[in-house]
Amino acid sequence: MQCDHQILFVRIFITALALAICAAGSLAQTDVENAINQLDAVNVRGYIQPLADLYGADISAGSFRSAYIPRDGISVHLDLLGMGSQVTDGEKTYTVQLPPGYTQKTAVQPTIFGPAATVVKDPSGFQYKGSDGMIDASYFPHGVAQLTIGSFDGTEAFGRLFITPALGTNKLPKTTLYGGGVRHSISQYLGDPPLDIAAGFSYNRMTIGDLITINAVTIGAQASKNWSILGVYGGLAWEKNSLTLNYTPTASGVATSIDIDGANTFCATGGVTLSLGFLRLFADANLGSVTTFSGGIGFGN
Amino acid sequence: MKKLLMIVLMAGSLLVGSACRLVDPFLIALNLPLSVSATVSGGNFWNESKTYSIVDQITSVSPTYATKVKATRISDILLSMPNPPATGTVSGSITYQLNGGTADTLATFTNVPFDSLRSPGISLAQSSLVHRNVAGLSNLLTAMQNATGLPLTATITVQTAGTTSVAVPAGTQIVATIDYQVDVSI
Repeated sequence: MQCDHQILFVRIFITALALAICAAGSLAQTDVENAINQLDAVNVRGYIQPLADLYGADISAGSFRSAYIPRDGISVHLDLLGMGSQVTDGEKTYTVQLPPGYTQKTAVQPTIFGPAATVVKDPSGFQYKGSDGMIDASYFPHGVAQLTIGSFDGTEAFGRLFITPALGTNKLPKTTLYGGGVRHSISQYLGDPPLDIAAGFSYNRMTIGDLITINAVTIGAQASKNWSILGVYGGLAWEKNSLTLNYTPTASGVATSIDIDGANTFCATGGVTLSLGFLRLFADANLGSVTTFSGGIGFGN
Repeated sequence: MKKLLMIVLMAGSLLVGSACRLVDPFLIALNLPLSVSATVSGGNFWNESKTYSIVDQITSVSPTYATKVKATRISDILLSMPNPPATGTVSGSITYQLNGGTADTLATFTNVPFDSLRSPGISLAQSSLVHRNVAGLSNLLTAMQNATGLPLTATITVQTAGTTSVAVPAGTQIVATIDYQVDVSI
């Protein structure tokens, strides 16, 4: 039986890894980098702002599924997570600054998640157009593997990692997501509270080629309640997400670094978990400026 | 248990596939500045030209892009002076040649203050300081803009020449730029 579990675990891990590679790798193409390089420092912000909003929310999601942390003893969990942030209409277009001599000063053009771009014609005969959107999405997904180890005085630590290797020749740059955090049981100080309560922080970092780095910091508190195999959990968190773009616009030829803040600053989480012995299934919703859903499968004691 | 896990994984896979996909194909609008930077010599004269192969400019972004062109257009034409001296004016012209043919005048300008040429410079789209040659501009747009693929023009030479009203420091430059956009289908 133990052997069956191990084989099943390996199969699930490989399948989830393949899914997550598809999700992460699709964004990291050199063609994407080429499109970004075409935009000047003013307009590139609007084009990639959704990446800061959605990736920032994605990579912070799904870090916990219970507030119960044993005071001591060894506990190990391996979770395979999928998370997806909702792409709203507001994330699909932005207002671009047209060339300085145009009669019309601004125009609506697609972001990286937007529709096909349209040509703006000036009475002088000049014409301007942005790049098309590249990703057609109602939800923007990502995947990650997370290992949680505890407990020492009611404290546990987790680390998460996902690496997409460079694939093909100048096709898919390496994409790396790593992060981690620490959580501490608060309920251990409260006698016998009706809910388990914990607090903690996490840091996640994602790099897409040499072009984009996304950092996400989260500080929050969580609560949970378990009944037999069913559990519910929730939390409140403060978030700080930022995207740094290092690129060289073709128009200026000057290396440029731009920082863009993600939309989420506060997030409320609610979710359910189903414990089936060695295995757990879980799903939650994260509500903030960006709505993110996460879910997955966990293994461990 | 195995069935449950496979159902969960397949449902997740279907959700990812239906909720997010890479648009195929999509268009990148390449911005290719076709510019000539003329260094003022002898204190107050400049005359410089530069020739561009359109295909070479496209392949400089990616070797495969030249075969994927879907449209071309001119988005702007600018006259600028990086780091201009405090006072003075420029007078001169911008001309072009298509495929090495006869030179055609694009614009002329007289006594344009240095300060008005600071980045991003003066756009030919709308300026009282630079006089557009309407026929020359129209010919250029016809030759360089194509809504279905590469332009008929293979090469373009951009030239600018003129004088400054005062002697300027060595290294002072005048820049004429045709901002050229090329849509490639990826």
